[in-house]
Amino acid sequence: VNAAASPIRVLVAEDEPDARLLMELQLDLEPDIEVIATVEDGLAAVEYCRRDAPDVVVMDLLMPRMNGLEAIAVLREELPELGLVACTAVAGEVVRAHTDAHAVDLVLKSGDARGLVEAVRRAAGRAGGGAGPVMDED
Amino acid sequence: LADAHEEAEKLAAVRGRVLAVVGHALRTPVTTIRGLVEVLERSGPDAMGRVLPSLTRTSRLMERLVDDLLIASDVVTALPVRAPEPMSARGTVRSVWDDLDDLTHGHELHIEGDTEAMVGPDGLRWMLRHLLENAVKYGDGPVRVVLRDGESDAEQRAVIEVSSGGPQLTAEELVTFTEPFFREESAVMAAHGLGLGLAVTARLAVHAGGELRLSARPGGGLDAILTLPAP
Repeated sequence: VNAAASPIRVLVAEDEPDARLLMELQLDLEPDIEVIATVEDGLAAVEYCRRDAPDVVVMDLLMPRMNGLEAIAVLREELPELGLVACTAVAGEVVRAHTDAHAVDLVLKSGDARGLVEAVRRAAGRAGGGAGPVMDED
Repeated sequence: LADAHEEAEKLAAVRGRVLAVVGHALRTPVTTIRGLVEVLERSGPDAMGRVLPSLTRTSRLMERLVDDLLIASDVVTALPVRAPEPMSARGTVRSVWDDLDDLTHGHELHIEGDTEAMVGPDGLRWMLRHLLENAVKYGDGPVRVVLRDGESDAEQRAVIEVSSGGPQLTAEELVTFTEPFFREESAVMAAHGLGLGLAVTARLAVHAGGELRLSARPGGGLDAILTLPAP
């Protein structure tokens, strides 16, 4: 992690308000990550990225209007440099195949922030090398 | 023997669906609660103002999911226990709709007429919550509620009809709506929750001395007709 670099700018797309707040707070606790906005569905995520692309989008998969898998496909096509992390409560074979096909990190929703934080750093190309910030004691 | 084998396979399929749907529906609130507590531990009291309402809402959601599971499984001790009293259907529909603000925001509700039901207040709210939630989550267009006095077996009844547009439904589909876990796993998982709302409402209605009938609307959508004892 390059401590001197500006924070990783993250967009969180999640329709469920409490899960959205949780992801926002989990990520904002990390000094090298900044949640710049949250949106409630895949279409809003795509529209946001077209205007002002963040470094990484954390995308829930089950959302109204445009689900996360569809939004990931659109964003991969339009903004190939964008970092993407898929986030879901449970992941079956279809979901895994889809995220593999788009080379997107898949994270299971968890009360433990580590998996999400690490996936965001990987998606931003900041994983590995050097001492990262302390993320958790337990 | 072939029948027994087929029956065992059917049971295994249902068991698989139950575990998948319940696990999926409970996992999100459980991990949210655990995560929010961890955030509070790490960030201290400053985050309390944002975290506490979420924590309360998510805990209540989990409580309701578990209650629905118990009722849908015919666990009698989970049923509401408050004694019946005369309840205005119109007032209760409006109040439940307003409480569901996160879900109903931006949706239209049309209420016609009124009627009084003799029913436990918590039971009536529970049934209406599921009927309205169901109409908003799976229906299209405005939700229409018609309230009227009725009669069956020479007894006065309160009739509550909740309708919304939507896809054309078959008779087979209607039957599965009130049978817990008979819907396809994919259909249930495409929306949040356990997919038990109508099954729970049907059981609560019978417990209250009434019934829930479902019919497909011509042109698409669902009419849910709840009949309850009148004072």
